[in-house]
Amino acid sequence: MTVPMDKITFVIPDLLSRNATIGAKWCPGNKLGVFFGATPKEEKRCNIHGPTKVHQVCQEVILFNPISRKLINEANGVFLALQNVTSEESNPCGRRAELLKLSRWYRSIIQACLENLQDAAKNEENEKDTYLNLVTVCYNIEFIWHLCEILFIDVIPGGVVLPQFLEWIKFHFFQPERKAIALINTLYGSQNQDDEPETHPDYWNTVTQLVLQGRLDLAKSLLSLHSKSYSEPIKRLEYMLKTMPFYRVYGGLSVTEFNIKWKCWQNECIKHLEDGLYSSDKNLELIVMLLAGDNRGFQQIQELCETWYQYMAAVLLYTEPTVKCFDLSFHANRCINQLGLADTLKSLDVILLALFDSDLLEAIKLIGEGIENGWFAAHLTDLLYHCGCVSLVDNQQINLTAEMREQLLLDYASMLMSHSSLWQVGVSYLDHCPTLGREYLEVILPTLPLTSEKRALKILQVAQSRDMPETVCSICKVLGMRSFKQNRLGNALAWALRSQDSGFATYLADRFLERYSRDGKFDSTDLLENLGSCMVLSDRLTFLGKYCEFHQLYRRGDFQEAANLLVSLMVSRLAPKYFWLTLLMDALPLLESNEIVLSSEDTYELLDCLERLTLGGTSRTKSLVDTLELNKHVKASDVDSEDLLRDKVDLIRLALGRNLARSLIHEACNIPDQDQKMEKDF
Amino acid sequence: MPDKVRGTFVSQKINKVRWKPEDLSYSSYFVTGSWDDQVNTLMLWSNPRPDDDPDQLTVKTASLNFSGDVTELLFIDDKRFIASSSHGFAKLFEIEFLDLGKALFKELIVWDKLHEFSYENCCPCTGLACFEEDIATIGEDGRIALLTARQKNPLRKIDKADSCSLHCVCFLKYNEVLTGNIRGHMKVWDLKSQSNKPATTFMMSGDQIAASCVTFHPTQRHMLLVGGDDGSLTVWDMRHNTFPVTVLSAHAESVSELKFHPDRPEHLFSCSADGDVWHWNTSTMSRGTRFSSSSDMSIDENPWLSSDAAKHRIEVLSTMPKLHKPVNSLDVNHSRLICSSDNEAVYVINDVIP
Repeated sequence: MTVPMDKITFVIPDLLSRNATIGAKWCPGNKLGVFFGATPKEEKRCNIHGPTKVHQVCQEVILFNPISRKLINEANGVFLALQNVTSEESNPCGRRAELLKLSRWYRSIIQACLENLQDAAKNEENEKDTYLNLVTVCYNIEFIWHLCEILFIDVIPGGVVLPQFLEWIKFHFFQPERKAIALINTLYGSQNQDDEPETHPDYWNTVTQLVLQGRLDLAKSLLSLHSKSYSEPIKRLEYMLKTMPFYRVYGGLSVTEFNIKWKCWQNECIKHLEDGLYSSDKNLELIVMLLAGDNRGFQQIQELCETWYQYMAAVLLYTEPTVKCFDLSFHANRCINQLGLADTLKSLDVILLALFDSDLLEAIKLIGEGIENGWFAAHLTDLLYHCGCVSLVDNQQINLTAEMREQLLLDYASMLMSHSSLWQVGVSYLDHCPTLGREYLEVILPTLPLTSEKRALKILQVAQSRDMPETVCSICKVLGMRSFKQNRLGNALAWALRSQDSGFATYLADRFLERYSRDGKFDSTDLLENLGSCMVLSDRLTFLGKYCEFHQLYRRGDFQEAANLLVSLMVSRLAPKYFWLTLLMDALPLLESNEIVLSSEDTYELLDCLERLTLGGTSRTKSLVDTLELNKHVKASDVDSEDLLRDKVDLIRLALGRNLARSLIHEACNIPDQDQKMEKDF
Repeated sequence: MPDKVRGTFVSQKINKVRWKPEDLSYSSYFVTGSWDDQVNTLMLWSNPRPDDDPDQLTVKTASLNFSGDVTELLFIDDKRFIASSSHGFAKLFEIEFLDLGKALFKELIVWDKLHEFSYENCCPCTGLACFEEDIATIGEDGRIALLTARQKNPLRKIDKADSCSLHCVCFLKYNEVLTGNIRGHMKVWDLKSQSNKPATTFMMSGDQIAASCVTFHPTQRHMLLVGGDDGSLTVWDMRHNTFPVTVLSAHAESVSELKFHPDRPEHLFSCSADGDVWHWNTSTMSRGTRFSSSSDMSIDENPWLSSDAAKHRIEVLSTMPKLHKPVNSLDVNHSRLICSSDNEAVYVINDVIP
């Protein structure tokens, strides 16, 4: 039996929508981009004009409500604690106890959330329906979870399940208890001789319901208010209620021993019934019939049970108190048939039936179709998976537990990742998906919007700690490119350095040099002068760093050092060719300085560079333009100053020549030194 | 969680949390600012001391929508505080208490467009620092804006103070501001000088580590502690600042905030992106030095500046079990610490110092 998925139809408000075809495409973050398109012919025919819009359609996630959001975050803490328990605890007994604790922790979170929701439903009138809807969802979750805990986690040795089963019923159907207490309070208050409490409209129903739930102490208290409570039949009944044996796992009795004791007690009830002790009072007779496990009694109380599982609990309590787990399915189906509900089962009923049937696969499938966006299915399956005793087996008897758990976690995590703020929670679920979690993360992380550097750093940190160099690189690149587009070369370079992206660093270094050639001054000197060891990332960046150093030296008046650096930059061919002319121009003041800072050898090297530049092409003019074509910005600004360029080259050549002469003379004057040096060499 | 830790889930990731200071008394209110949500909010919470109320319920008393992430919150007196936004503005608020335990935030001044990019409108303001009523804000655009709580017009803007994004700022003196950028490049600005050049610059380390937070010693303002993106803690003596006195490898991931106890500076608190909140206790060490050097207050009186710190002799305690999400912010008032995390919870920890 399956419950069909709800189909939702809604209209997107768009002028085009009435006359056009609809198209859609998935966007990152569980969104659907919907657009309408009409062919030009249709547009003309229907006379529609208007802008084409793309509508973002996304599923409404009820979990993102501020109150239920606490559920997400608190449960995330428990989920992570659970993963730790299973990796640490080796002793299966201790582990089971630990898991039970965690299961209760989950339930207490749901209950706390339920309380908050109920308060909110009371206080906020305009959102009342939303909250009431959420209350129902949370209530059902807790209800099913509790049953799962009883059936699969808190398993009692021997498999006698009824005591816990009754607890479950009592916990969730507390109305008889409340009614009884209210009745006792009012009846005690107004007690006078003429009053007959049993005539109160709720009296007998409440007593019977209490008996059905096995709350015999309360039932007794109510009976003692009866105006004829001193009479023999009621005294007897009270005695029977007092002496009814309850099975307790650690009560010291074996199941067989208990059964004998219980049979004795029930036989006595049957005897009383057969004696006709209660035939005068229908109400009393009904109660004794129930105690005696008489079928006629159960037929009468069907009306009093809101649900089939309450009925089932009552029937089991008085006919088969030591029922085993695996028999529950049979009893459940029988009860449903007796009540004639087989055709009107709701999805909750079907889930419960599947659970009694130990068909977890089906149960989880059904739970997954609920409207709580996968929270419940994912957490419950994970818990059951870690319990280890349950295996979900499909038709071909293949164990699907791990796969199913992972799929549910993946779905839940991707739903969280679509929220602007809960992506971090999503990450911690993906971390615990052994097969596909990493792939999901690798796909989703780069799609998260990088609204600020702070957020980007957090996303980067997630990627870094999970050892995803490619993701790190791509995020840094996005941030770098964004800075670049904002004209912030310095910050762009900082991101390139962070991700050790040498290609990008080279590109940026080129842009720095271009700007320098254009404006005559450097952007972001604070960064460039403090590159340190980072400059080795790319050759171009090294050159840029060294070139800044050259300027620093020059400004400081350290001409000798500056000249040496300049020559070494040229000789080592670290400088890009398009920048040679700038370097040679920078050399001009050094060549013309009073002190000789460039030796003849240095001058030859520079001359060599100049020749290479100017003789590269066939004609001198063309070559110069070619040189400059490498540097597009300069070309753009100086496009018609071919003459200026020629002047520059001539100027450099002249300076080189003069310096060569000076340095040769200077070196020649210092022959003794050189002789000594030559002697040393020999 | 142990008994002295009280957690409250608040349904938003909290970026900054601050006790509302009280004159001569304990704080029982704190302000939180959220980040990364569709609609971010400033919220005021009351949290009585355990002596006044054993249940110590955290109750929301005021809430106000805030555009953009709250990137910093600072009180300038017991009523007024400044909040900066990732949308590039800062606002001055006043808390006004109403009847029935409710309160509201009153907006006093809005400083719009403190930080902007040339091609995009929205540039995050990443932090702010205060010296009495003087305020300095920094942004990803590398600009420093100087404001005063008395007027709406900014006093001065230092454009391109840094070519990279600035990530932390503090006042060293009334006229000196220190900034740290995403590469760990620290600059000291003399506000009296009209030039747009820093007075001094130095690097936190050679490894391109972003300076994530900075704080100074409450009584010895020349002592500076800088938290790094790699979890390190660097100690500087600003009287000779070229090299750090000590570099401690502390947290495993980015240090998100550092805070000395305002009244008892021998206690330092730090929190980190890997979910730790640590308490650094130097009281035992400083007592030792105090006895030995008896009367004169020597320079090395401060244990952070003595080489002992490097030997990891400082007592470091974890104040609460490790959280599974980054701890973004903390604040301490008398014996109570408050911290906030990306798991959408705020934790109040009682009796953090004896």
